[in-house]
Amino acid sequence: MRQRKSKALTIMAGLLTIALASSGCSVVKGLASAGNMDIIYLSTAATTVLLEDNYKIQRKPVCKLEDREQQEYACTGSTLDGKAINVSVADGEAADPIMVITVDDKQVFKGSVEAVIQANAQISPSPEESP
Amino acid sequence: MSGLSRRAFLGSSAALASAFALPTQFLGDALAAPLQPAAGAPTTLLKTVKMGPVVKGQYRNLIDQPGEPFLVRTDLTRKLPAPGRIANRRSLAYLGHLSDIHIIDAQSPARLEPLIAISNGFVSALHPQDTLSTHVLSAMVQSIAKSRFSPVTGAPLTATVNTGDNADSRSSLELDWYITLIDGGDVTPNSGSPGTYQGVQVWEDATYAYHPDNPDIGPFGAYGFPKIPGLLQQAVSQQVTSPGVPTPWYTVFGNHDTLFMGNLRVDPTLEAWAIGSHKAATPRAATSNMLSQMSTDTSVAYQLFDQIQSQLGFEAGVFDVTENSARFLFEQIDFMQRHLDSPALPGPVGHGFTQANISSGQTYWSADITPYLRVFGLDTCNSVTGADGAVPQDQVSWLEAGLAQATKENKLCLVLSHHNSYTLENNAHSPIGPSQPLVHAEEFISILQGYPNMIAWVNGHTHLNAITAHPKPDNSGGFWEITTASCIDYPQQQQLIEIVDNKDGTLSLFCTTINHDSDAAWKEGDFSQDGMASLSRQLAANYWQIGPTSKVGSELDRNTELIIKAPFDTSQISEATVEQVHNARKAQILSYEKGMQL
Repeated sequence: MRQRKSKALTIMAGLLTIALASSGCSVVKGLASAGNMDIIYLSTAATTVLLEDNYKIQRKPVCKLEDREQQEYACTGSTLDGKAINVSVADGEAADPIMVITVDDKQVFKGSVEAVIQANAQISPSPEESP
Repeated sequence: MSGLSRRAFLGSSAALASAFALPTQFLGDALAAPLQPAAGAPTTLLKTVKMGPVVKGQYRNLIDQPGEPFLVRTDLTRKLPAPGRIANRRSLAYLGHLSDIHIIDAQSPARLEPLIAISNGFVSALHPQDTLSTHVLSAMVQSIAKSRFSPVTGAPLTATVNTGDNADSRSSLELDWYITLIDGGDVTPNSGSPGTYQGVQVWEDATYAYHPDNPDIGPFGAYGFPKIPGLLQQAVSQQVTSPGVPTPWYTVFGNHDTLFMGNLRVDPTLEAWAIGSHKAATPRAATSNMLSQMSTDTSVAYQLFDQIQSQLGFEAGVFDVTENSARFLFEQIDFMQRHLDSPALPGPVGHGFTQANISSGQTYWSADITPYLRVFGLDTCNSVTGADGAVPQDQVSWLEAGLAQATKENKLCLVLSHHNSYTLENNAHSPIGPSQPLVHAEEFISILQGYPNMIAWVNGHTHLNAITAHPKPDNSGGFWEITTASCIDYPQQQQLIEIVDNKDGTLSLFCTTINHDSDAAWKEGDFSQDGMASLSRQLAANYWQIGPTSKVGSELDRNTELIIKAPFDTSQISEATVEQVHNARKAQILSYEKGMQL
């Protein structure tokens, strides 16, 4: 019975992948997600960090999956005064992908994509919530 | 300075007064008043909503936050706009943008909520807030109605565009409810028996669902979801009243309006189930219930459920429900015809579709929203399988011909579609008979870039706020892609889009995010219509399986001024023409206000 159930789940997962190429919504767990939501989330996270640091953005970072096998992501953008913005995620399949943002080749941020996404939608934690 | 001559103004005022049954002098005075930015319009310029502190477990309330000013985006022009544009500018069109409304008949037997227990791929099959979709839409329409004059220029609302996923499960009732609420009217979202709720959220077998009467069934209690006895009965028993949008609205197909649950082709089994008297509460019951009514079927749905059933076996978990033939699953032709059946006001009849669409079966359309703005409403949905879309070649050819013609006529153009550039890679073809080649994102973007009059592609599907610049490879131009969130998933935001002529060779597209017109914080026991909308947003914000925080976008995806090079000398759009457009919409709005006793 256990083997039947396991095989059943494998079959279901495969069929669901075919039938549901993208549900139009996905949980941010790692960056690997349905459709191209990964590159939107990464762009959102990077833009949020840059705006919070008062960078004047001319071209919002545009992201793509550079290496599908390694799950490496890269984004490029620019500031109003012509500095290059680069964003990279070395391992998009990690449980908590880390992004590195540089402006004019100077690192300005290294941290969790998920943490930025969460903080963007929430007010700052209360003292009781803080670790 | 008025563009119309005095004689022309008096003539058109009289005609409008007659058309909208308004006193001539009253209307004339109103039309003669200069436009003033509507500072009080309840947009996120004034205040917005964010997740507050945790109140229980991991559950958060929502709280008001300060408004967000416009941020200028110069991705396409690569230079700061001229400060003088503010004094000189004029509004060419001011639009509401609705998308992914997802009206849900939560009691429908055809809903496959139990499958959420099998895979995260079905995570959209059920939300804690499913019974509250009509309340949310009404509150969102209220927001648009209250923003009927632009907060930027004071221009009257030209039209509202709606980019699909209107009915969540292709239910005829869902279709009726959504049209009624946008047109203005009353809906009682109960398809079952009066005073009762028959659905998974009251059946203990459905451990994957949020049970407001007892959240400790399943994981929602531990998460901190509140106990709200009687919520479901209240939600479906209450009459929901919507003021309607005050000016014309247009719509396109979304994948949920085309495929069952946005993914699967409808077959006779699903159709019979939808109007039947049984509803499944468990995954195994869902599949066995469907299969018991099948004879032979080779659809994707049958293949999927046959596999599941053969592995898992039959099991109990089916409940008797009140059957209702009005829950039937509509066809594409029904969808278009229903829009043609809607009243003359707010209009237009058909909301984009015309009798020609019914006769030919063509599911896309074009319309001149103003004499200088042509809108192309595409159908990017795949009718075979899969949530994502593509653009069939015949439709691309039609669009290109239309854009070329609009260019000759010096019209600005917008393209509306459900899917966006991130979700246009569906390659499913029917195994039977010839089908059109499908055009995907990279090629489609390149095609649109060839027509500078096409200034914005407006869409939805991903339930998030995103504004994407598409500069041409040589940076000589490009267009903006404006993707708006949804009414079902957090943040439950929609958009206002205003096309402004800066009279300096550039246009500004002002994108203003709007929340639905309900309080950020839900007050316990508030079962009023607006209270229900407020609760829906709070429940959605905490529905962790959807990843709610991932859909709000950055500040560059919300309140923004998008600068774009004007594709032609906009002085060719005369002041008189613009004034006539504004006057016509103002008159319709005044008539609306009179009817609403505002």
